[in-house]
Amino acid sequence: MDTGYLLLAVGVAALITAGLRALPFAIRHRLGDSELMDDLARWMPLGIVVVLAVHALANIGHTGAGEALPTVAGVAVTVVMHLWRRNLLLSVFSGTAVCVLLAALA
Amino acid sequence: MRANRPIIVGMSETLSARPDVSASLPGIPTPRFGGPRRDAQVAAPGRTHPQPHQRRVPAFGADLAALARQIGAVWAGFLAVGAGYGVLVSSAGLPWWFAPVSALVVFAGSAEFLLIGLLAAAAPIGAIALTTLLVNSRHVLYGLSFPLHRIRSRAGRLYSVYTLCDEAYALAGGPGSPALSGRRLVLLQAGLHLSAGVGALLGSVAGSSLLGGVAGLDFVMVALFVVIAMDAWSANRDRVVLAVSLGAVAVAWVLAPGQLVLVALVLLAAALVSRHHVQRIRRRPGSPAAVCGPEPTTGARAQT
Repeated sequence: MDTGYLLLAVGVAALITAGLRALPFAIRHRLGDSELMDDLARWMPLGIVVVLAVHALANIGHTGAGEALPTVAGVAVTVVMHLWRRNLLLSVFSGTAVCVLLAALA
Repeated sequence: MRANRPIIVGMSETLSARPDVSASLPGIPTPRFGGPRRDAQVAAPGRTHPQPHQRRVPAFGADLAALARQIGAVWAGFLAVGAGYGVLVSSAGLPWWFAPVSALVVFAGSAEFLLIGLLAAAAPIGAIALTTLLVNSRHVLYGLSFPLHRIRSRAGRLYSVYTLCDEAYALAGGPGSPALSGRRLVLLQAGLHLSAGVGALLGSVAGSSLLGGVAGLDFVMVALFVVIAMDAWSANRDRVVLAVSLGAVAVAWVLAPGQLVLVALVLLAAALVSRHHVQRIRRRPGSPAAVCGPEPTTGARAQT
């Protein structure tokens, strides 16, 4: 893998990310009453993470990392744990533990 | 404006539920919704009592210890997710230094994970730039309510903005989050930043031998995204957004399965912008939606 290409990719990704993070502080006072920004601020976060979650779920099916059962069981445990305790780390770790265990047993 | 909810609600809720969060900040009420008022309450004592040796300015070590009690678990979580990232990087055939360098320089979880796939497929820089732009566009919203003004030094503010990731926002800037001093804000973010970098280094160097053989470990990120989506849904039960997102993924799946996230997010953004315009037209008295050409059609589809 070409080192220059990797460094350029990291640099571009970092520059864009930093720019996006700094943008609202730079133009904060002018954004205050934009109705479009208000609506997007309300709607986009949910939409983005739903897209990312579906993508993550679809990806694991594609790469075939183990059988379907460990993944489905892991997702089920993650969801139930999260509905129960609402603790991000606990939900992620227990779901992953179940997935790893079932994949090892299969 | 209505404050945008943190994506990782569960994390901040866990924090607020802990007694030591408020106990370590005597005299500061637990913040509620409505950022500016809360910020003023927190920032005011600092401005009116600038003496450096007052008891209200704790020593560096005390600040660090208090923070570790509050969010040490999240730092540990970043170490683990960083290690998972490192393992993925090395299993994708990228050099060992790439994981820590990208984790420290980019420091945006979901974009980093997408970056691995793009680089492994030797995607053009333009595609990487566009994906980063769309995936991280949500960061634009964080600055609108993040209490950056609590940080006094210019270097501290620059660092805080540079490392303003989802979790930092959820922990410090979102509604219901604990009121941290400026120094604790910077320490919180530095802890997240360093944990991610060290974790990525460990995962990349040692991970493939330690964890590479364990099947199912890549499930960590699936679980993380599922949990984040659940938290976002409980923070904002907007069925239209949910339906539009799922529809966008379905269309992207058919149109461009190789660029699923990118295409889905473009469709999502377009649909939500049309939804905004449709709602504005409907709200305006005396102007029926039918007058406005093709837009209502798009919006009507988005509304279902």
